[in-house]
Amino acid sequence: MSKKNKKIILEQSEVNVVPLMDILTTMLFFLILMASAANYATLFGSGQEGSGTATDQVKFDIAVALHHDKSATIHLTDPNYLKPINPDSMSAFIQKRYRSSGNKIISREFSAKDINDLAKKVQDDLKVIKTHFPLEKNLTLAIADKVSYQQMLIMMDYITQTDEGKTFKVTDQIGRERDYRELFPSIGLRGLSNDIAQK
Amino acid sequence: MTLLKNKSKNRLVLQEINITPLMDVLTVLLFFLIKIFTVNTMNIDVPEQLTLPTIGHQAPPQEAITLVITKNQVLIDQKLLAEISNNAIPLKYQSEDRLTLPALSSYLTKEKQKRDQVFGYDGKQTDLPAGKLMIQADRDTNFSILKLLLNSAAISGYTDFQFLGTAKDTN
Repeated sequence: MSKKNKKIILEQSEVNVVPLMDILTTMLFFLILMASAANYATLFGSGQEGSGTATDQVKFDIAVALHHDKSATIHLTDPNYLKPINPDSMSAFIQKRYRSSGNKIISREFSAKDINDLAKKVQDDLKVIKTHFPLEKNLTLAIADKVSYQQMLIMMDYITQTDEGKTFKVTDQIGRERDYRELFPSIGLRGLSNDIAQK
Repeated sequence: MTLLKNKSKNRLVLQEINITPLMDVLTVLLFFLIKIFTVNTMNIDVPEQLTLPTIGHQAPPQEAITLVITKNQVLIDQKLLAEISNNAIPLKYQSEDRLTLPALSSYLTKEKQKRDQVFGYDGKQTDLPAGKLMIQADRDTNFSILKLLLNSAAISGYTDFQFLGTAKDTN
């Protein structure tokens, strides 16, 4: 007699993940494609000219005139009529580098081999000015017609703040020393006209 | 007689690929990418013929009316305002005093009126912030063109400008 052993085999049912894999892979490639698009950034500007704080009847005003990619001028209210953080240090700084343009304005001209070099030189002076006037945020940028959009943004970049990791020390009026990156983030734009470029 | 059936079957063991780790990785990547898209809600369409300048700092764009300046055209919200030739806007598109672009001024004035109507009921219209304009321009665009357009925008009450560029790779 043969004994048949009957085995009841229960079929193990498995979840079919193949369609899920298809969908996930398709979505993944699609999203990677979308995410590989350029990373955008913006700089902010204003159509209103900046106005600074006033002392008596003289207010802090600073303007950068960008003549072309190799030449720029900083025009600044004479700090002798204002109240910088450290008047002696500010006076020593401007005496060496700036000259009077009349009407309580002092100026300094910059020239460089290219726009990046020019913007760096302008920024170095702006850092010193900001050290003595840490509360000021407004600056007017006057640009000549032939300056390109890229050159304009490079200058705005350097005027707005220093690069990451490159801070500078500012001592406020109660003697606290802080690391700053921000220079003059509120930039008023205008075309270069005679009253800015006047020597 | 016992027949020996040598049933030597070459049994091939069915090898199954373990896809569980692959599923884990794909799911994590998927959630990561979805997270990136939910953080950046602003959709920026830059025309192909436009080469944006590079910007060193990373301030994210904000919602604003978009003004596009390619090498050949000035567009606002994809509507043609003026043509550009030799990196200048022809005189026929400019105002008589050569200071503004009338097509842009009238467009932005209408937009401002709409905005004032919507928000005016809640308070004084003079308390509303300045209108925002995002500028997407080709990197070689002369400032003379921008000056004309920014003047036109400022006259219409749009004095808050965003200049779009591509973030400089700092690595």
